[in-house]
Amino acid sequence: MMRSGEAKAGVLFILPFLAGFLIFNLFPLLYSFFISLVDYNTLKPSYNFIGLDNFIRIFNDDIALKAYWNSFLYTLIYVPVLLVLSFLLAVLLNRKFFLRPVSRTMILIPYVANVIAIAMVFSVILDPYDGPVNAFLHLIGIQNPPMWLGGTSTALPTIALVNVWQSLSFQTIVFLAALQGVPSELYEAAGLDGAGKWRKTLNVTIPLVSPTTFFLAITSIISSFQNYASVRALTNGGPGVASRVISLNIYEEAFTYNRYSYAAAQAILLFVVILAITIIQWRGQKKWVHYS
Amino acid sequence: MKKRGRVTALLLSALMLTGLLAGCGSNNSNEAGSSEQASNKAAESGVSKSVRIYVDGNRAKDSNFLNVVEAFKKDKGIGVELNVIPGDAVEIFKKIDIDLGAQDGSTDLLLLSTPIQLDKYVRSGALLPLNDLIEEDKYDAKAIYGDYLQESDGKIYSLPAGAGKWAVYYNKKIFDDANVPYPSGSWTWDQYVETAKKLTDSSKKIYGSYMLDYDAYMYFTARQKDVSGYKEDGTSNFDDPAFKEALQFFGDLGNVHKVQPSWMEFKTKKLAWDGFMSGKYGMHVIGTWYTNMFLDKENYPRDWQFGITELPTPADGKGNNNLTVINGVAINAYSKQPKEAFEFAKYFAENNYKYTGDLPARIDLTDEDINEMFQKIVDRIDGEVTIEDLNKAMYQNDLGFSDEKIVGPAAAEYSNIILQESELYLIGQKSLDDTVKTIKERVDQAIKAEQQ
Amino acid sequence: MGSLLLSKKRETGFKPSTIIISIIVFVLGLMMIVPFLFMISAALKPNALIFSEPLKFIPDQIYWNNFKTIFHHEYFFKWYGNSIYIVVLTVIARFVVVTMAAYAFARLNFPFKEAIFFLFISTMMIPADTTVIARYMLYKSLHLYNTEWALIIPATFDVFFIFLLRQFFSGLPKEISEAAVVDGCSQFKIYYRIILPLAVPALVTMLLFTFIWTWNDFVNPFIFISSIDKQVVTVGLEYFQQQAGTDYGLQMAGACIIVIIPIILFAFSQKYFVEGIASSGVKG
Repeated sequence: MMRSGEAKAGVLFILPFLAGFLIFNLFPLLYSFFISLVDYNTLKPSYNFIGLDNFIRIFNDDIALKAYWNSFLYTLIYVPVLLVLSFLLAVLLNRKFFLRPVSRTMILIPYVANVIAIAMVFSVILDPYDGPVNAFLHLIGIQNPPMWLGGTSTALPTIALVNVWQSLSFQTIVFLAALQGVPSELYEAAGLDGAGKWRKTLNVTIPLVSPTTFFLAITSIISSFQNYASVRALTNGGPGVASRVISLNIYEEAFTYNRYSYAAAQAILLFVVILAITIIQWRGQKKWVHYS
Repeated sequence: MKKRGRVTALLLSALMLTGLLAGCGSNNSNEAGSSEQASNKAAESGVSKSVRIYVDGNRAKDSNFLNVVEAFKKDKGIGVELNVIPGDAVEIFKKIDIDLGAQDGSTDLLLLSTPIQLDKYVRSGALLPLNDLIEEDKYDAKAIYGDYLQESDGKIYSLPAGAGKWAVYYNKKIFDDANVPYPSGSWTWDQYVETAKKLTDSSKKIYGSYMLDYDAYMYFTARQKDVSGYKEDGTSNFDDPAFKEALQFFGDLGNVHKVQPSWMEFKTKKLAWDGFMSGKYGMHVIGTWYTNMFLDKENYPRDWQFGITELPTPADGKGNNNLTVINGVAINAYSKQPKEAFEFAKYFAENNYKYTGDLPARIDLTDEDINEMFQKIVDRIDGEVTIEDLNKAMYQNDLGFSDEKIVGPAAAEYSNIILQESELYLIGQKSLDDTVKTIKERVDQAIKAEQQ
Repeated sequence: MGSLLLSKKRETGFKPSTIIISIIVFVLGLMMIVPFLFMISAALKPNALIFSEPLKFIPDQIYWNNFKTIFHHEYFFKWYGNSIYIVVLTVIARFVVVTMAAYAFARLNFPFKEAIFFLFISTMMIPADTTVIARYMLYKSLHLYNTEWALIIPATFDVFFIFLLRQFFSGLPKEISEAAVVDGCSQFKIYYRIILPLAVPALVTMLLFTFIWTWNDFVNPFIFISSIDKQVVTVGLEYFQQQAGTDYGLQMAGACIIVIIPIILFAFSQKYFVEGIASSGVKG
């Protein structure tokens, strides 16, 4: 009896969302699947079914393949660094210290700073010729400091780190919110057991915020595959195609060349890749995510 | 107390949402009704003669452009509505593309700034062929525009409204400080490089030359020799030695002669498109639209005077063309009032130059017409340069003209491939031969893909 | 202002390590705001000086024209008002719809729960650019195109925050709702009287970032709003674009104007991230 009442309540609670979701989220997704199978590759709509041709084309397109690979490398750097740093920052900001609201706000500000302003500031800081970073590296005796955003092998990691720096705030705040839910009694109990600061963090905090970490891991991976705004501002995919990520490629296919079907096919393939990664994470959550 | 406040706030927002959703349903139908009415009205007023034109925000405020529009309204008795799209001249086409793709005919006219854009819209059937209107009107377009009139399979899709050219702008102060005489026109790229070397002074962080990162710089001298971007069989002609030489020439300016920032410097320091205005460069090879920059002394205060001279020519004497970019005005294929739109197109193409400072794409102008045009510019810049300077640099010189853009199949992609691959050569990651070869291969592939 | 000097009242005395940490965090904060200072300084310079002396944060002469140009635009205040209106409605609508759904996913059992949830999440994995055309046609046929509802209604149904809140709600002890059910509380009461108040930091996170993301959104209003008077401020500022290239001074002035409200919100939201709210909530 209570079970069925709960089910009814559950359906009622998700109903408003579900209705809007079907129209505004699911329909556009299904439409993308549909146009990836037709030849809508010009400005003018065209709906001739061409099967998997758009998908086969991807595998003969070296630039697109390289872009998928670049996105993968980007995610590999961006997500772990982001999660570790934002967690440490949240633990630090959760402590008591003077001027807390002011310092915290300052630390979170990069998040809302304009992308172009950030690109310009980093081009000054990372200027390989006259920039402070390379001047410092020269000073400590490094003969050939990196070209940063200008080097074919350094551009992508540099963008990833600049992005970590910029988008850190969101993850930090989410962690901070999660830390509010760690009951102080648990710390006190651990303190009585003689656990030190690091032990407490390791044994109490990390398990308790693991649902949040899980959420952040999944969503950060998704967003890191989709981010192109800062790539455009920092290198626009260069030098050559060294930092061209797949989302930038999809964007150009759709809006520069009007190849909507081909762009959709690339997006669907990306969708499949992200879905696979997410399913693996989902399956793995039992091992480390602790719901109460 | 606090808790109750929170709950009240939540309830309140829930109530507001129910109100919102309810209001939203009825509102929607209202909204739809009123917007339909509005568009009906627009259509009606369209019948009573009013054309609509896509413009970017900058043009919508540009008094020179508005003057042409006003003059048209007065002369022809047809109204003009501006459909202002936010964003720069590239960005706005994303939105226009979506409208045109949906075959939305509510905006009649488009201003196209390059032949590549024109080509794209012609291929996708978004533009109205003007031949019938021209015939009906007995409009002698050929006599007015000559070769500037662009045809595609015998059909005309746009009227040329301006023909941008290239010139060399120079900083007189830097010449004076280095004791170098001002360039007097009619010169070769070798002479340009020699002059730039004399002006370059690394201790003062002054470079003799400045160029940007446009595709045209990568193949400049090849197009000056009028070497085509396509072969007879429709494949890429980038393996022609002229393209290789052109790319090498551009690379050498920064990497070998060191008379301008190297590509690596330009990119990593994010040097700006308006960098010449900072006063740290002796000469700037750029389109003639740049003259307008010197009029804006608010945004670009400077303690130096500028000069202008004609574009250098390839030293081997195999070509002496200036490069031209034709911008045009075209009509939406789904326009509901092509006749009125054509009236605007004609008026704008013929008269634009008198107001906006674009060089005319007309061959029927008299010397007086041209003098009058330059006089207007000279008046606006307080005589920093003379009519003769301008005329010699832009118009009456020995230079011929060829198209700056490589226009043909997969043109937009062609341009991007050139930029992507040349960059690797310019920063020393790829040999010249490999670069040129890759460009040809990638472009051929793109052409093939497009033809499928 | 009292809260600036933290919750010192509660503590008797402080450790020297607190001072050291305070200094470290403050210096860190100073480093983080460099791009922000750059924005302000570029906004106060004529274009020619932005790149020639980028590190000179205080210009010799303050140049107000960038701000004047923006403030004098006939639609500027209209755009700002539109932005606020749209953001506030989005925040409210999303709050109600999303918290309810998240509650169900976190704390109730119903058929196909996992499957539906995963379907929800999967729609986040397709880049929004690919669905622009589909949404354009959809909004046109629903007569949402070129109305504020084209921005508000779709944004209401946000999967991202359902996921976030689900994680937070399911972290709350099961016993609370079980006890409430025994007391005869309806599920709706449990949701808004017990669960929501206990998840305040997470809710603040959602409200804060919904506000910021909607506020900063560019692509949606750019594509789905076509009348200049209905535009929002982020897109509105793009009407100032130069034809030849970016006018960086104007752009930075615009960025400064846009960023004020998010920064104020950041500052004000800080008081919700204070240790121990949740535990004291449980006790009280």
